[in-house]
Amino acid sequence: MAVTDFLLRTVGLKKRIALGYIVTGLVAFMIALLSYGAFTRLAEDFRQIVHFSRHSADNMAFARQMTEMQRQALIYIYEGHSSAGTQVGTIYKQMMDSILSSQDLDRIGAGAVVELARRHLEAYYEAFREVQRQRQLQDRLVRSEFRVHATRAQQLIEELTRQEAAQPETPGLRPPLPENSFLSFIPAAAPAGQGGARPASEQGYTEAERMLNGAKMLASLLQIEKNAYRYFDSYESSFIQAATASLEDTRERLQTFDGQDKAAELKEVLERYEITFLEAVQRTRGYLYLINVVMSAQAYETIYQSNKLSAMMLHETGRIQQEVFAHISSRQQLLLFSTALLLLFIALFSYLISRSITLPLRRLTETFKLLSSGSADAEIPPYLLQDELGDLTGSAASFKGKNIELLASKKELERSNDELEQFVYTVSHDLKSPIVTSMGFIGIIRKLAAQGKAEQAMGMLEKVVKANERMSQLINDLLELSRVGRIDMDKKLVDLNALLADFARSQAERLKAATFTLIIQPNLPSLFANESRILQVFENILSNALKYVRNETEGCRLEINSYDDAQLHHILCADNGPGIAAEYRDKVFGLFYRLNVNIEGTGIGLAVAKKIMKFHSGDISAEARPGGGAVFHLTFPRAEAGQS
Amino acid sequence: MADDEKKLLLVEDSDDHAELTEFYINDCRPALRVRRLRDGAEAMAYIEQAERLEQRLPWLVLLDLKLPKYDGHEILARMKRSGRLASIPVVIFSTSNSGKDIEQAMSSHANSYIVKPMEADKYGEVISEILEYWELNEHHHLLREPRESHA
Repeated sequence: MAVTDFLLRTVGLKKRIALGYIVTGLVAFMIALLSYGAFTRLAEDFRQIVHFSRHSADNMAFARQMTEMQRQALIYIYEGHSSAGTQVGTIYKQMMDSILSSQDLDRIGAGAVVELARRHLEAYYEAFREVQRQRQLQDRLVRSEFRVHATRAQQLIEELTRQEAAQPETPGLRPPLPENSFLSFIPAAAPAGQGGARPASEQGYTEAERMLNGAKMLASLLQIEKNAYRYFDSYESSFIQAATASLEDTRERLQTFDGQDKAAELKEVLERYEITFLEAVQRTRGYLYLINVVMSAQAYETIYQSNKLSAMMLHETGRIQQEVFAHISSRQQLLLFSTALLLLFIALFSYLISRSITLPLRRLTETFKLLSSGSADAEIPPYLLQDELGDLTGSAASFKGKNIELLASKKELERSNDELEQFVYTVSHDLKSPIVTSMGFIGIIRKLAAQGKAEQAMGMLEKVVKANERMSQLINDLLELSRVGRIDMDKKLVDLNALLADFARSQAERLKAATFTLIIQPNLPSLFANESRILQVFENILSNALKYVRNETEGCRLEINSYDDAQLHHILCADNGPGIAAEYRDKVFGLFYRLNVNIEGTGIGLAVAKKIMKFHSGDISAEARPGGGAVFHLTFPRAEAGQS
Repeated sequence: MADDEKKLLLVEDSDDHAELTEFYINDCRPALRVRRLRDGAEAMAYIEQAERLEQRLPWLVLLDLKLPKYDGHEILARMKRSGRLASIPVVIFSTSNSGKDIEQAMSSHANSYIVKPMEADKYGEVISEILEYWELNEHHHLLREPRESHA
């Protein structure tokens, strides 16, 4: 998977684990955040509902207060309690306050309604104030002017009546007065109205008549006042008629006193009395109109608007409720969905993280299994990061390296075992050979001796000696071979030019005897090698040449030359002898292998040379020389390369 | 067939061993002619020549194993592959007593494998026994195939 590969390539093990925790934590935090958001939203919705509920409650209180205010207003008007009037003011203030405090109703479009309600309420209160004013005026009229006029009228009538009584002509008037006064207390309007006082004004009234009229006037006056108060108490308009009728009656009766000063004044007082009464009535009617029509209408309007507001709020509350339910359900779904999604993400991410840990571990386990079974070609899984798994991969790699080394050394061991076996086989054969020879000739000698051929037998003895000598030579050579790489093999830098110059000098005698030419070219390399062993290689090559090279025409010759390439020093030892056929070029380096059995030698020299060259990490091989002859080709690793 | 008409082929690189073998053959069968080859290359050349020419074939081959150039095993295999020479008895006569050599020789159809003795007086005995055995075998051979002898 690409993500896993990416993680494996870029994020270390510890970081991967930490990343897993961090991402899980973040996701958990996101879930918490989402829940918080959902709850916050719900709480807000809830708050809005509560808010609206409060408004509804306020509104209901408003309607109730309106009703109460109207009731108080009516109490004030009809009962005259001034405290009820104050109550109206207080309620009005409360209501105005509650209207002002609910400005946020604008939001649901209820602002206009509230404004209307407020205006109606204001109008209502305005009307109420007018009512109060009118009532106060009426009250004042009724309580003071009206009273003043009534009292004055009564005074004047009493004075008029007293004047009559003071005149000599009217002494007998007094006794019936209380009777008449008493009489005037019975419903007197009708009889008074019926009273035929008219003729008295035209004709001269008698003193008794006037006395009676005065009493009746007083009674009418009382009647007027009584009816007026009745009206102000009950607002029954029939009382007004009754009062007016009594007033008319009083006026008529007054005519009896025409011509008297007091009568004229009384007339005037009565005039004002009527005016005052009518004005009071007028005021009363005014405020009754206000209260019954204007205030009722405004109260009705206010309540209507309030109800309208209630309906709106109810609707709004319903809407909010629906909205809240919708929110709850959508939040629920969102929360559920996003939580599920996030959990899924966590699961996926955890899977990736754990996979990024287990995958390389599983690969490594496979690799280690293979490695522990000794495999040298187990694939080391690629892992680039330097973390714990990287270390483990490194260990696997070094394990593999060890396995490869082990396999190589095992192969090397097998090869050297084979070599040893071959060596033992060869050695046993070549060591047996002189014994067979010795024993065979000893048998001949015995036979010859038995036949008395002592001379011949002695000649054969030489063969036995030769065979034994050869045997000892073989043993010495074998010992020499076994020393190579074991004894005295310290290496140092050897100047081949100097070494071979010495070598040529030491071999001069031998070369001269064999008429053999040794040519050593200059500019030979310096080698990091064991001096005496290298010398031995050249000795063996020279010995070989001395044995095999027979060239009558050119004269026997061995030429040592060299060249270098990038990795190796090449040293060529070319002779002009018979050469070595291609099929024997490897065999000549085998132990005891001789190309010509008639040329003396143990067949060990080149085997030794090979072993020495191998010890120096170099090699020796036989090649053909162009134009005849053999070339022994030596290679040494270059000093720089060899030492590094 | 008389001894003087018979020829024994000796393939032996060691001069000393060849001398011993020839001495003892001469000692017990003075009439038997011995043809000696010094190494594997000479033996190969001889085989190739013998295949081509109508020359007299050896009666018996004494073959050493460790030879320069081509070894005894190679020569044995070459001979036993050859139509004309396959029937000649080949006695491997070697110092080696290794099981590997014996096995290889037998699987290449060597007729006999004799290890060169390392005791005094034994060399002669072994040579005479080899010769006696193959002379006897030859007579059986003649009895079985009389016409061949007349030819």
